Amino acid sequence: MSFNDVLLQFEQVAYRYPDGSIGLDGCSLGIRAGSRNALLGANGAGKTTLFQHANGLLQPQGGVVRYAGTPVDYSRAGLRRLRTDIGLVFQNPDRQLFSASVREDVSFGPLNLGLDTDTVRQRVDAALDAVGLAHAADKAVHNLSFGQKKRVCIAGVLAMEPKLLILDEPMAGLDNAMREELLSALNGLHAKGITLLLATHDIDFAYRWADDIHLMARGRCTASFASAAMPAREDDLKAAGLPSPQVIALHRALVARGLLAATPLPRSQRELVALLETGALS
Amino acid sequence: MHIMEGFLPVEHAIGWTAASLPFLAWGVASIKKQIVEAPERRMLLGVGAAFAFVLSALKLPSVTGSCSHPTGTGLGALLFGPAAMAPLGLVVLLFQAVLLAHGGLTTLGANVFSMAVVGPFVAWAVYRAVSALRGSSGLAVFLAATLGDLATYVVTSVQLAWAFPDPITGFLGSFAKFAGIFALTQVPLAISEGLLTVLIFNALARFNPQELRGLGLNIGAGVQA
Amino acid sequence: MLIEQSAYTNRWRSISPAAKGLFALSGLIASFAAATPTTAAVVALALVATTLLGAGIGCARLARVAAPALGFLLIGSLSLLVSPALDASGSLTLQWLPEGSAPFFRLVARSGAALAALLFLVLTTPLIDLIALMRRLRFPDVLLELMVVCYRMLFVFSEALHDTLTAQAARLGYATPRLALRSLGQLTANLAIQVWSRAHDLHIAALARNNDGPLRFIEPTFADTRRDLAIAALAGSILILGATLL
Repeated sequence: MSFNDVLLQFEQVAYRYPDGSIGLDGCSLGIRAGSRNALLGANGAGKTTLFQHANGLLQPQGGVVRYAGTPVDYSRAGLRRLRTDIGLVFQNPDRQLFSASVREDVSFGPLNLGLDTDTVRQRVDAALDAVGLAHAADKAVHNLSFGQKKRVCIAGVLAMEPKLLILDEPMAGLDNAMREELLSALNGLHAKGITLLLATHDIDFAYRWADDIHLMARGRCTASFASAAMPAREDDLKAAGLPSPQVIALHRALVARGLLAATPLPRSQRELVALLETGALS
Repeated sequence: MHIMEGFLPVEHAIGWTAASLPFLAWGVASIKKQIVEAPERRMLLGVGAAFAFVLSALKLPSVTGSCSHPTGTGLGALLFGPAAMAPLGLVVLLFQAVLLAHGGLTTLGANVFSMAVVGPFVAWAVYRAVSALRGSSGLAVFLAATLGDLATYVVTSVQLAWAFPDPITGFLGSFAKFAGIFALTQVPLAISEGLLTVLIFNALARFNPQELRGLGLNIGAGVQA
Repeated sequence: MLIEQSAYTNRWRSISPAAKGLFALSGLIASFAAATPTTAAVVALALVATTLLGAGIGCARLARVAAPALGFLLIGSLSLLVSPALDASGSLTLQWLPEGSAPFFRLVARSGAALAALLFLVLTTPLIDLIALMRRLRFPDVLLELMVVCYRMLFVFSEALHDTLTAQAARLGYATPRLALRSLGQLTANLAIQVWSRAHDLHIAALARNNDGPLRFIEPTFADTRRDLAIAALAGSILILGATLL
């Protein structure tokens, strides 16, 4: 599968909750294989609902979800295949880790895949290693920090070796050091070819990290574009109630004062500073 | 009221364990059936047991000014049904023994019988009876929780008196001794817990009906055998 | 929770829980099989010594975790010394029993020794290991699942409880017993509602990880389980034989 193949495709997906509230309202977007994706939107925009559709926890009432080109099969066996390939990490560790033993909890997913014990042990070790928690395998979950608990959640899904890893606000509640640790773990996964989709409120982070940006508002998927195109999509951001990345305004001001060239476009403060230091004058 | 590790003679320890086993087996069968009908129950009872464990660590101000720990027996019976309370109570009591050295392994059977079998069944039966007699729901909840606690305390006193009959006055004298000693803490506790359980139900009633629909399943729904 | 802390940090944490369980079981049997109160007291001392010197549990910590049970032991066993009677005027009196203190000492020694066996086990073995041991011993799935979820969630609830207690106390929710009972009622109702929402979320999370049946986990592995079991069996036999023969 090449980089430009669409792994997961939402076509006009609609979902309304039993209490009548709108979850998704004709949402369409595509996730390319091997890409890093950021999903942005205000609270209640429908991000979690979208994720639950991706993993087959919710079934669309209208439209269709395609995985690797074929519509999702909602039979028991079909869901099993889908959930083997698409891993979903929820936001709150205290609402998804149900064994107090780190090793046990991480083993839960691979055992559900019907793997033999030796394979499961290898996968558990590899997954804990990938998130930097190999030393904590025999610890109790309640003795870990919040950031470590989040990484246990990720390891629990990684051990199932998904092709697409979806994370619901993985950075929420983490301090800077924890964010950096988590980010390096995620970049390691991306380097191994795992497609990543994460929800975030941090537009600056999304701009510098993601390949593709997806915007949601009120259950609608309002825009999808390459992250590099962000400066041209500020109206879309505004429509979704989102601010522009700070570095865009800063770069623009510096260009206007003749201190920097209009291109290349820096996608982070660090890149901007580097451009200033190398004196890329117009 | 937990009987401590090693306190009961071996034949009593085994006897009470044997007496609790059928109720545990029934409870396990009941839970299995519930899980088939509603898979969410698999998690619900475990989370419920954690709630009961944490509840029992609360300090409850009692009517005499002293402090005691609530048992959650009545509340649990009304929320989860009495059948499920035997396995749920077993887990809570085992955890109290293992994590707090409160109660014990050899006395687990006796403690399960008083706290996870008799208490919940009395609480549930009292609730049904008062409701059938058209008593107010507040009164039904209060009496259920209070009498559930008192029944537990009486059974524990019986267990101790049976194991250690008084050489002169026999079982009754011994019962009077144990019941007398523990009445100091257990009777005020039962009343406080009754009041607390009413307050809990009043507070629950103020949550929105959507949330309560899931909650109300067992209230008045009958034993889920 | 002091016991919990010791269980994860003691010197014998990595010893097979089956071995520690076997030794504790031997301790319980020895407590009940002890020929005299003195031998039961020796069993208790041996178990305490193993806990302190072997597993390296602190003396003060052992005393603190034993204190509530010893309180029960004192109150419960003192009643074996006296007998209630109604005197001529109809009021209740207590008289010393002719048997004297023998039944009292028998009970205190046995219960003390059994308590020491329990404390040895729980201070050296985390509950996650004990649950895994029970899984090996083929306890019913339903009970094991209850235990796994309960053990994880009780820390979550405990945290929520303390946060709420602090917030309520900061707003004078516990200024009087009456207010305290009301605050506790609200707190407990709040937690009770969480039982359903948390259970729902855990269920969804389990589905997302492809679960559609019982909750399965791999067993923890311990180096030298055979050797540990052999040592525990030997030590346990000595304890039981000593208690019955001495």
